[in-house]
Amino acid sequence: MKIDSVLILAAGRGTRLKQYTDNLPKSLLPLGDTNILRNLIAQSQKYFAGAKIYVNASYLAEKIINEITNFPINTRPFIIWERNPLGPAFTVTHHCNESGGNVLVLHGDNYFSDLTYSKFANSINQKIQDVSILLCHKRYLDCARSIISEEKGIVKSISEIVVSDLPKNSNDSNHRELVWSSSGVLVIKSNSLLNFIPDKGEGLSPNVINHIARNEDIHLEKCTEARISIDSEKSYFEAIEIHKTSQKLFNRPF
Amino acid sequence: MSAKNKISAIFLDADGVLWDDIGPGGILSGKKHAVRNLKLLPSVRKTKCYKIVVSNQTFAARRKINYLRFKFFTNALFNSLIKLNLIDDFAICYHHPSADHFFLRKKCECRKPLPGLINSMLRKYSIAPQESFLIGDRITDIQSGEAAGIKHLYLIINPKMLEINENSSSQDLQNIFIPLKDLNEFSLAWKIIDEN
Repeated sequence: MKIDSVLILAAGRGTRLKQYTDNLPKSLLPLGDTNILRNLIAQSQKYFAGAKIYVNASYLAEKIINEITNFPINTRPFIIWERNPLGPAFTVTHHCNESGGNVLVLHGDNYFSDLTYSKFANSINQKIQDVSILLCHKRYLDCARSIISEEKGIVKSISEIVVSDLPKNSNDSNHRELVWSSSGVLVIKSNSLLNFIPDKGEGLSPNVINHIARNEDIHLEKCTEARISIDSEKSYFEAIEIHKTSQKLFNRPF
Repeated sequence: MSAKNKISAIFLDADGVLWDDIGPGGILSGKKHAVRNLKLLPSVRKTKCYKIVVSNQTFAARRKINYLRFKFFTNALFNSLIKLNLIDDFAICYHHPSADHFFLRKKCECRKPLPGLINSMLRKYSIAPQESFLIGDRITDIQSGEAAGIKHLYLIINPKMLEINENSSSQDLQNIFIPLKDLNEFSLAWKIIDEN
């Protein structure tokens, strides 16, 4: 499947990492010799050569814009600047409908090791059919933020879990069951969101994903290697550690 | 008419692009910088590509200088750049909605981010906006270019780049552009565009 554009969502305030994000957008948090955003852009350029890269920025956007100018002019990503963040659902829907091609959407707080990224990128690139694809990983029910219902590798629906819904007793064996959860990567086939009307401030999950799932197949792509959604200090430190020790499959441009 | 044969243009802001943005009146000492910077821009391409300056100039609106004198100076400056073959035309908005000068106090259609200046040049030369470029140093330049349908938008980074003005509409929900460190980077981008 040919990816025409990659959209990296980096507009949020990163309130769950407030101690680090008062003066720095979450996507610019350092990861050793790189940072979260630079890592995602470099990986996207490596594995989706030819796709245009777009970075959605709002909170401390000037810092993200400055960071983007470090990329060579011939591979420099576009900035989608929002004075006030419109929410992932709006930004993604607008981009998909304006660009018209197949779009890979990445949450800007994701960390993937090179191996993880290369595996799902190769899988996406080699798929013959044009279908929307949701990258998912297995999580324990009591830790999952989203739960995916699937049938024969096709996503049927996704439901979100708010923190207060999480079971209190995590030792309960019922809650240790593994479920599929979203990994923050979605490939949206061209024209899939033409009839979708997003609400301002809405996330990608559940409504965008459920809209696509109601109208066409979303292939469930299994993420079996290291990936981290950086939404707490613990997960940030974990990402730093994995980045330090994981094998680098290519040189970063800077 | 094929895309290659359509008439295109590079629209250039003045303050912060042709010369450093030192606030209203920067134009008065801008010429030598403009000549140097405009020489950076390539003059290649088989089809015609106009270079047009589009600029808000509020120095006279703030009563810092006599309007007619300022207009005379501005015209003379840009005409000299035309004579040097560095630009092809220019369009200036002298208005400001809260100008001290009553004659220039106007909520006009030409003050950026509104697209009046660009639209007038698109009509004058039958320029195809989807084949054209804009280089600015403020998000209001980008908004103006987007409103006129310009496809390739470049923003030179600086501390004031995301400031909006009273003409920015609440409808400007998003703006899409490529950030540049300086005008020289556009020349590098242009080579890539021209080769393709």
